[in-house]
Amino acid sequence: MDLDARLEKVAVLGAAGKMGSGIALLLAAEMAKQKIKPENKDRTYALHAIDVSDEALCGLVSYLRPQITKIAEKSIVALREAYKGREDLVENSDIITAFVDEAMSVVRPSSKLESTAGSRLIFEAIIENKDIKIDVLKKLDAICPDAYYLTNTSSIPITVLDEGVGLGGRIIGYHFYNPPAVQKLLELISSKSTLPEVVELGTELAGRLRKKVFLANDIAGFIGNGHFMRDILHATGEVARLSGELGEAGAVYAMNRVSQDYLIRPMGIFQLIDYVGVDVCRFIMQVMTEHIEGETLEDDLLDRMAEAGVMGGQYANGSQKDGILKYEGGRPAGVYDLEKGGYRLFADGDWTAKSDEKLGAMPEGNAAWRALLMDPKKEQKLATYFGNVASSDAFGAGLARTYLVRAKEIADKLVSDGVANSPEDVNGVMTNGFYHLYGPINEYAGLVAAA
Amino acid sequence: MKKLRRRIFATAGSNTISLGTGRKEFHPKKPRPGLEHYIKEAGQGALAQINDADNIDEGVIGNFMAARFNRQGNLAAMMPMVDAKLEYKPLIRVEGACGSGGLAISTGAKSILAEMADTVLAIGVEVQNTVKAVYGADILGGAGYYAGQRKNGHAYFFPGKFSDRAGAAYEKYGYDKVREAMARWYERAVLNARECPKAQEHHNSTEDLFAAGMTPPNPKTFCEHINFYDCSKVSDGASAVILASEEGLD
Ligand SMILES: NC(=O)c1ccc[n+]([C@@H]2O[C@H](COP(=O)([O-])OP(=O)(O)OC[C@H]3O[C@@H](n4cnc5c(N)ncnc54)[C@H](O)[C@@H]3O)[C@@H](O)[C@H]2O)c1
Repeated sequence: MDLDARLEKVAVLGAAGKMGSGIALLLAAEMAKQKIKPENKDRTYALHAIDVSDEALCGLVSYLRPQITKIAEKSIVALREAYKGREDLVENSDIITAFVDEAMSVVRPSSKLESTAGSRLIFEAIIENKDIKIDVLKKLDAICPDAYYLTNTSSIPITVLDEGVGLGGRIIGYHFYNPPAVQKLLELISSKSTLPEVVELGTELAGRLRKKVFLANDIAGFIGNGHFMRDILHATGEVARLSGELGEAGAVYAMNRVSQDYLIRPMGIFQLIDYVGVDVCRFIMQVMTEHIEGETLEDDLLDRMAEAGVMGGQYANGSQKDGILKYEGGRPAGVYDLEKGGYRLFADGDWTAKSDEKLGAMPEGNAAWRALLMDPKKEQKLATYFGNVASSDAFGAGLARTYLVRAKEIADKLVSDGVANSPEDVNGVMTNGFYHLYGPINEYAGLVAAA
Repeated sequence: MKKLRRRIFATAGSNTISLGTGRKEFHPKKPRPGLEHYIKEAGQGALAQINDADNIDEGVIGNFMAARFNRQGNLAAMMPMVDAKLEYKPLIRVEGACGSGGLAISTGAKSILAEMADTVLAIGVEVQNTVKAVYGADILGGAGYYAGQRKNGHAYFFPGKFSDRAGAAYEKYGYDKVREAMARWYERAVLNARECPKAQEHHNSTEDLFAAGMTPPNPKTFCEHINFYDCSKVSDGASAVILASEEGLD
């Protein structure tokens, strides 16, 4: 059965969740594009959007319509061509409305697993819990015997799911990044038993969804989280080291600045933890520890934060919840102080000034991430800047140097452990999925290591 | 007729800024001034240069498709918002696609030639940033032959027409030469705009304008033979001028 045939009957599990809703959006648009082709007029398309929460499914429908409209608006040139034969559709607005209706008619929201019977492609994006995932997939396998499974798990090895359900290799890791409709990166994880035709089909589909695919091997955490989680541990280790002098909140503030401003990343490490969710990070570390021999990923700071109810994550509208950092208008405005049991605002008192003073002068040539993003002379400017980081005696520059060196070590190990097939794959995931301006395996790390 | 039978003077011109992407004041998600604002600003700018609005005999306003862009018809009835003294004077709205402002002027001139008026306030106004470009293209496409050509036309109907002409020019003179000429044209237009504080591209600070103009056309997202830089942007704004006979000038 080829991709076109499989795309007639598709299911998304956890369709009302953060990832599931985005995946459902991409699929609804792709299936509608198939559906309107004249040669497919006799085919029926169904996208079963399954979630345990009925209430959330209502939200899914109201999310999908405006999002599909945006996709249609952007695809107007192609859609006009596709609808050439429809004399009744003249203006762009007629065509966009027709396409949106077509896509919405494909979507079948339901809280009943049984309605997926006969599905040929199943995207799994439910809660990150091995036992629940295995249990749900088992039930599905009984009613969708030919299906291929594409799981969005962030950390659980694909082999564990495959063997737990008994899928005989009909499963692949299909790791979208959040939000799936926007992020270009797709980490494709095949286990030793994943059937070659599943890899092939997954790759072909990724192309249609205009995703940039990077292959990862089946080791818990894969490339993206494999790097991110260890990066967190480096930052929190530095926080522990600096806490005596700066206080814990002051140290968190300092390391968030080092990871954002000094390394020129889109957001600081603690903001990124909040973006993903404190608990999600802890959970991924736990799963990695469970499946990776000889390495324990545990973080005392995250554990204490979680215990105090500091969670991060996002509201339904995508805005950031307070976590380790407090946010005002989407921007960090304070740090949670575990001793005090509340947020310390940047604006209150001189505690941030103390940390800034400790960091010292910013090395020359520093620029904001956003400013360099589109700069054609980006590489040259980064090289000059990191040259200055290498030679600066400011304390902050020293923290940036150790950070860069550690980030490269983590990346090198992902390659030597066989998680990634090449340094390019690690760099590709970090630049495309995390929007870093440069991959962790770079010449700057060598430059500063020499210093 | 070879010669106008009366001399006609144009005076007291007034322009608003051209608002749209590229201007610092423009933010797609924030509320913006509407028709009323621009009509008043341009009209009052002209009237401020003469003694008294009572000296105006007639008003003409040119606009294309406000009924779709702004859900507003009968624009002539908005002219007294410029000055209450225009109330009960002959006011008329004219439309002729991109030539609407020009029609306002020639209509005013006709009244003067016909000795129906000695002074006419002519205004042109457009507020088109109310819809996304993809829907704006539908509305602007109304300047073409809807029943005969819209269905088979490009999503961006008029850019599509110009793209066809550019394609013909590539064939005749070679792609490189024409592309370079159009890029130079774009560069000149922006350089001129930088000299004019009210121009939409006044804040454009692109270093290498020519390089931007050389961007290869992308038929997947836009037209086959032209790029975005070859096209003027969507703007909101208005202009006004007072037309007068010799008597009116007094
Ligand atoms: N959020 C991210 O940044 C991110 C990125 C990549 C991968 N992931 C992975 O994607 C998956 C989903 O994560 P999320 O962030 O979208 O979580 P989420 O909590 O937003 O969504 C999960 C959805 O699954 C539903 N659900 C739970 N149990 C179910 C069941 N038994 N049957 C049907 N539906 C069920 C929930 O009601 C919820 O709507 C996880 O495996 C996660 O590790 C998340």
